[in-house]
Amino acid sequence: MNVLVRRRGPGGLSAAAALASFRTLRDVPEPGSHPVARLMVTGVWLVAVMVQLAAVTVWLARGAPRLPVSFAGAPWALVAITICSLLTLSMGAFLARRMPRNLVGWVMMVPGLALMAVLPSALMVHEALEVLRPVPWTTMVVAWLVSSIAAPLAIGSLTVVLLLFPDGRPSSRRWAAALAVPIVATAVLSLGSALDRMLIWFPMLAGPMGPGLVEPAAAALARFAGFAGLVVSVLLAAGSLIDRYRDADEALRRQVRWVVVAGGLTAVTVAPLLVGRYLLRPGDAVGELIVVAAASGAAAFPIAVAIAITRADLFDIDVIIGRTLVYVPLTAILAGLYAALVALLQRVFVTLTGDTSDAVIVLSTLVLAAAFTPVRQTLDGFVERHFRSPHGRSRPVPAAAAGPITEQDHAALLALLASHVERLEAVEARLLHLEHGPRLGRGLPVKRGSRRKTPTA
Amino acid sequence: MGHIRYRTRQEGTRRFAVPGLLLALGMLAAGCAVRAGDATDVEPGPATVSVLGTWTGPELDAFRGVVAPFEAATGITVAYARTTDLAGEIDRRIAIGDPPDLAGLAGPAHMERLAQAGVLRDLGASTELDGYLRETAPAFVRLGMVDERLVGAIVKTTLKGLVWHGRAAAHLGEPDGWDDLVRTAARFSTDDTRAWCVGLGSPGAAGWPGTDWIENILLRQSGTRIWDAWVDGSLPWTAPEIRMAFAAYLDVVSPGSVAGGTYGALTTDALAAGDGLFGTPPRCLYTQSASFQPALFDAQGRDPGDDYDFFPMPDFDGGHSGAVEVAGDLVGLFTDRPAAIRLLAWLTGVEAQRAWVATGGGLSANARVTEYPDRLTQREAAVLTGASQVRFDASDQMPAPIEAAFRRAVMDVTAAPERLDEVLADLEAFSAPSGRGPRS
Repeated sequence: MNVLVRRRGPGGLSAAAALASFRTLRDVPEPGSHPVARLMVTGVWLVAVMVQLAAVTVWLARGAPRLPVSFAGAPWALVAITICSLLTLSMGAFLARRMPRNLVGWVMMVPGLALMAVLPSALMVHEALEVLRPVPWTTMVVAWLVSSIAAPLAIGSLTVVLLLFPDGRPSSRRWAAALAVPIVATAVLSLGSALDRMLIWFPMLAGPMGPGLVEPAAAALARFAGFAGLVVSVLLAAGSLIDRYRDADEALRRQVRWVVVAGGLTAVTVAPLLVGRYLLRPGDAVGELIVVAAASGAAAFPIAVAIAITRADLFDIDVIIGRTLVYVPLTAILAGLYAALVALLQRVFVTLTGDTSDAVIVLSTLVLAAAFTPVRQTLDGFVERHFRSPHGRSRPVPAAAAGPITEQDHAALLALLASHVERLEAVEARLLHLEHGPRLGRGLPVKRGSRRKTPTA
Repeated sequence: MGHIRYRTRQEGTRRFAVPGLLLALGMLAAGCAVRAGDATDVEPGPATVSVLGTWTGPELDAFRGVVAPFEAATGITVAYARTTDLAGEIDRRIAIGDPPDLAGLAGPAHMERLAQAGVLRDLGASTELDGYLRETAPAFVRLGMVDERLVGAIVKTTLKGLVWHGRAAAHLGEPDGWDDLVRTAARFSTDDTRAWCVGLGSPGAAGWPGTDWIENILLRQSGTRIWDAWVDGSLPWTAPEIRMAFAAYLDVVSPGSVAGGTYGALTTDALAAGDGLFGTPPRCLYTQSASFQPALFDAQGRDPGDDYDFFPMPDFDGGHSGAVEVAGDLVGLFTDRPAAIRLLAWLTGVEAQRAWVATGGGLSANARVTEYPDRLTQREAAVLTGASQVRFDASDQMPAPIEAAFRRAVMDVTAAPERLDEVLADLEAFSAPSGRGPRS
């Protein structure tokens, strides 16, 4: 059952408007709806994943060296960022495709995309540091943009996701105002970083804007203001989730429980990254730990959404959620398999022939093609058994279904009807809830000291 | 000059015999004589910047020439003090609460130790050094960084792995590869004129030319990935690639190949090895050295390009091409005095760097410096900037005990090549517990 019911609209909602809103927010699109948006999401996801896989392949083909990116140069830090970015982007793309009108999916894609830029840009800088020549301008621009924007954008958009979750709208006018904080803070921190004398993530490179444009003190002030804003944003996001959870009914609580925990985890792990990156600037060893913790914390969010969707029918889209649970791990498994094969076979070739060979790419691709279907089927079976909710399972129609109706069929039909009646009752309860406030309609007392006015019809 | 390691250990007999004018004045004022190799106490006044280094002879003259315009323009006096033991002298000065304003650093490992002890100032904190950040090759900027902070600035660069020859081998041309070089050398060498001149002798640092030999061979035989693994400690000394590089080096210093035989290689001073290229007959056809070699030849009145020339160490068959080894003079800032920061900014700036390379014997890390005093140095610079991969001197990056063990191993295997496996096993046993790279 979906939870996307707006509990407190500005000034309240009429029953009809609430019903319309409910239907809108339910937002499970009909087949063929929003084709452009869905196509766009798919395209962005595909391109980003391909670029990321190419970067991972290049990195592994070079022996997975430490890369010259501050706080994230160690292989395990890069792996953590890559996994986090893939998970976040994939979950964001899935939600955006499924519910194009819900901002959560779209905004959730942003941190994934921002983090995906880290590895390719680090590889470009690594290449530039191999020689004693000026850095190519393309590398310089990419490094500058990534260094200035990636982290603020990833953190800022994650906080926006938390503020909007799950219905794509802030839970009240007050929280709507809070949305401005991460947006402004992201812009200010990005600008302050862009004006820094040294690129913050690639400190061996001088910032192209440098001190010529503004006083270093002004850039530092902007960075501090942006940093402070993002810290406040993270706290606001955590507060928003907690607030939603506290005021939610049992169904909603059940559905967002995992997400609230993950959101809190994200806030707790991202805050040290902000402090470490923009305030204290500890050494690389500590920085890498902070990055891994933040990437793990942030990765928990899409995982929690996936759990909420599959276990608690969040967004009511578990019918097809299995695809995500199949194809995201499938992508990761195949990418890992491909990378491992390339590295292994290159080593074998170097041992046998003394040099690397392009045949490795061909062989690895062939193995990958052969492995695709068996791996997919295995994952499909696993997801079917362990994750899909009972009513979401897409089981094959038994042959007996074509036969005459039996007593058992009657019982099953009655059970189905009963479940539909329950759902209708739930809808009715929600409408009452919308008309008369969060505590009415369920016999629950209105919370004492509530600052909110009881909505009027 | 140009590489840090031997500045720390062998300066006494090399290029550090002549103290600078201001230093001499200071000493005279103090009424004391300074023995060669000792550090000199300097009491900088408000407008004096104390510099501790190892430069001497032509290098010190060049430094004086570079700072003279700075002194004239700013009124700041540069008080230079020389030591043969940078690490020890810096530690001593810090211990007594009298650190120099600026000092040369004995290498990345030494720099990292000082940075972690908190005695090196963050150069990135000063806007005066923005020019260094903008104009220096990022690979060198990165070399001076420890834990996000820029704590060392490269003021001079040295290109390693150059094969020098005199007139005797001028007509032989540049070989197509290492094997071609070996064949040519064998064909044209005689009992009087051997293929190679090698000098491993160096007071306090015997064996360093051998480490350069092995590093350059390894870079060309096995490539940068193996090199990096070796430097960071993940590849053992007993690995086949390391053994192969040692073996190729041992071919060079075999009794029939090297001037003076094994004894000659072990006892000849490193800085005098190139002298064997000249003479009638010359004692050797080739010597392997770095871009500081012309300064030594020029001091003897040799003409670059006419009396001597070079080509980069050739590639090995089946090996890796395009990579070169470099070294650099790292300087650290130990005080917050604005005058010291100004001096460092000047030394790394384009004007001083141009003046520095114009004196010969050095290359600049400043990307804006493209003009060199002669065709030969211009070619050195072209090799440096044209390399597809650059690696910093491996032994300079090793912790001091490991670096010393490496040099000792070079001496041991040169004297007794049959002990190669045993020596490598010993090196591995010595290195493994502590790690051999600066980052390990």
